[in-house]
Amino acid sequence: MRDDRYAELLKNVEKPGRYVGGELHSDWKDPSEVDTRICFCFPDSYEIGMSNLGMRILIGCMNRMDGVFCERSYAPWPDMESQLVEHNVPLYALESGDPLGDFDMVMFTLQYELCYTNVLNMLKLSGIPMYASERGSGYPLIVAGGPCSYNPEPLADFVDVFSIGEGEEALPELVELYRQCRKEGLPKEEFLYRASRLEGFYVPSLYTPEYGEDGKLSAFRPNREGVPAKVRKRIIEDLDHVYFPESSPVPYLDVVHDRVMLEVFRGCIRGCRFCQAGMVYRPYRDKSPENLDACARASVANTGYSEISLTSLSISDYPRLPELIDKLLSWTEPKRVGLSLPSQRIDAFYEELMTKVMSVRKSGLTFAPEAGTQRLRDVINKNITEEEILSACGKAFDGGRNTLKLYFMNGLPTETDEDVKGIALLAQKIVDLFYSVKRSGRSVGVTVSVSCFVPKPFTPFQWDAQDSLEELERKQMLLRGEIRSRKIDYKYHDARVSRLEAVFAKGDRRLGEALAEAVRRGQRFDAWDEYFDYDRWMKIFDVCGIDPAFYANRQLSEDELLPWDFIDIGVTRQFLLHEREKSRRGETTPDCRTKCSGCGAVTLCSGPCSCTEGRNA
Amino acid sequence: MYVFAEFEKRGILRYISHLDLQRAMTRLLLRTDLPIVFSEGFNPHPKLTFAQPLSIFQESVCEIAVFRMDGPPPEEKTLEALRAAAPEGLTFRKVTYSERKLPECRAAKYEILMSSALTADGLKAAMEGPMPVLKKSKAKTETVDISPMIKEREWRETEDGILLTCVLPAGSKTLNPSYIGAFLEGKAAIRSILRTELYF
Repeated sequence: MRDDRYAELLKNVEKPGRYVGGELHSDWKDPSEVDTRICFCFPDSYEIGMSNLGMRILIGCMNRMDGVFCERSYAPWPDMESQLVEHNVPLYALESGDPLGDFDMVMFTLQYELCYTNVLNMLKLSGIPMYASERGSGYPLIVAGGPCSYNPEPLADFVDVFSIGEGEEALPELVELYRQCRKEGLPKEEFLYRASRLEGFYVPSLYTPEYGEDGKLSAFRPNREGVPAKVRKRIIEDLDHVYFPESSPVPYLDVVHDRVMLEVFRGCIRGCRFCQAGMVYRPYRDKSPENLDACARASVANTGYSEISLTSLSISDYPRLPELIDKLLSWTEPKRVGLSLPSQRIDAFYEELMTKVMSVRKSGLTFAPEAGTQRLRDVINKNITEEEILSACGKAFDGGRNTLKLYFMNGLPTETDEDVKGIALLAQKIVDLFYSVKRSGRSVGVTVSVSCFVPKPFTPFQWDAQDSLEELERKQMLLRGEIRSRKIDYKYHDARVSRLEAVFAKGDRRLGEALAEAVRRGQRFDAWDEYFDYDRWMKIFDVCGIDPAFYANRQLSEDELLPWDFIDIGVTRQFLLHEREKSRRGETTPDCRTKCSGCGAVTLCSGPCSCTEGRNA
Repeated sequence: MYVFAEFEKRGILRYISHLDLQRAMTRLLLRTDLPIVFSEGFNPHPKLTFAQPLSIFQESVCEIAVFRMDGPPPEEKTLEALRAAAPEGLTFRKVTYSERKLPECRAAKYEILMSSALTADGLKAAMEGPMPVLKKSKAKTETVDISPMIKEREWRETEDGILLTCVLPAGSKTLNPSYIGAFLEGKAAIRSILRTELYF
């Protein structure tokens, strides 16, 4: 911010640095010299939002457009919220300090379901009506995108346009359409109509859902001629020629991911049946080591970061990883820049590679077996064996590590008590493995972190019910009783949080009223323990006549119309169903590189699918 | 070789805490190609200290960052490199090299701008007797008379408010100028604090 207009408010908040912008490399254009002003919002705290690579990419894409200035805003922490309210100041953008209501477009990225109340609360704090139907032409257009927009329905009443899929090309197209419509003097309705006809955009007001007497969705159709019945997600085919933010804001505050985030590839060749990202981001597409190396060099030089994180869904699936690592290490080591490789698969864990990478900085090691028994790992198509798990842990111990973190899930479809106990057994085997060899003077620590399964749209488990709250909590206690070693640190998620997540993940438009009511009652920051209030949510559902179990705990029939069925992610419903059937038989599906499973994502590409063919063959 | 880099911390940087400034300065150093000396160990980083931490909400024109270099270029080259890597609000003024560490900072001069219903003389009078305030330190919280610590007081009425210039102890016996605001609570409100000089 270039002026002091909020000094009085900032005096009274804990971390004023969250609300002033001005970081190195933050964008600036003179607002009076642009014709289109956009505020890109992250509906969570500054520290979380600044850690998001997607937002940095998209802001960069729009600021590269002449005449367009895209600024940022994050959800104000409750101390700042009270200051805004007390001083009667609307929520503002960090770069110019101008209120969100003054912008042409306000965009939200939806990274997790529990940020929905923050989206509405940010509108409320901006003095912008929450409901799209209440916003005339004097208000900004509200646009949303990101992973949660694969089921946009809970926010359908509030958002004007959803961007489905990757936004680097799509959002600039939307902005151009907006400018064109404004030039032609067209009303908002006409812009929305035209937006609905662009590939990758969903305009909820142009579709009408119908519900049967049983409460289930019975029809979902466009309500205007010319509006497509299906909305197809957008992808970037060639990642080597897409914009990468080599020079993007370097925060002063200690944000969650405070390092260079180098995106190596998109999509995943695996096909874990619970994983939404693994399905919706298909097909697999990667960047070349040469390109990545150049991006990393420029990023480090521009930011002064001393760590580079190679991000992707499963980094060890990058075929040219050793080559990339060697390229990077050739200059990162002398510069004392560390590399971190999160998201490694157990079956592809190279201790040699890790030893190389760790030469500068030591970082923690995390594996995700997800389930405790082979039977259940086959059901979810994790495609790793116990042998592989133990072998990877052994290598890590031999490599000098003595702490490991393991991720599991409770409540996966078909899970039995034996599977739950299997988690404890596996963890114990890992502890025993450590002590099977004499290791001088050190003790082992295995952290077992167990989350609750949340069925997600566009996964083979989308039809499945979440375990009831009682059942999830019973399993958590069962597991606690099974863990006997003091070397095992057992952590588990609050099942009530996961239940709320499931309601919104699989929700439909009727949940909009509950969200609005929650925000009216002051509910926000649901993803934060200190503000999460399950009982209040249950009251809100009750008041709105919503049965959360209808969404979270109901087994859907395979022929039921799903609220998100109108979205085409490339991967077919048929494939998801087939995968579901195989899961019930405990049959696994090999990864895409071993054998194409015909998921349908290839139809998004102009040529053959890059996971099996093309340059990485 | 020790490098004393004098800089201003102004504008929005007053919203950045000392801890955050340390991180920002580290990154700034890493953006230069200067031959910075790193610490040893698992998490190598430039060895960096500051003459006197500056509190959040305060500005300064006389900060000093101290780090070490091996075979440094001429001082003006270093100054140029630091300036090129600096973010908005952080302006390097001078670089000097020394074989010895920076001595402990003894005192600091501040310009404290206040708004008050009283005149400068009125505020001056209010601060004439003992000034008991509740002072917090790591070990304890106690009532301390800060009056003897506030030296070289000068009062001036300006367009923006009443300006108090004074010298306060720094280093191990430091007095944060915000305690003056705490003492004057109800009589005056501090609008801004600017540190203008460090004494060694």
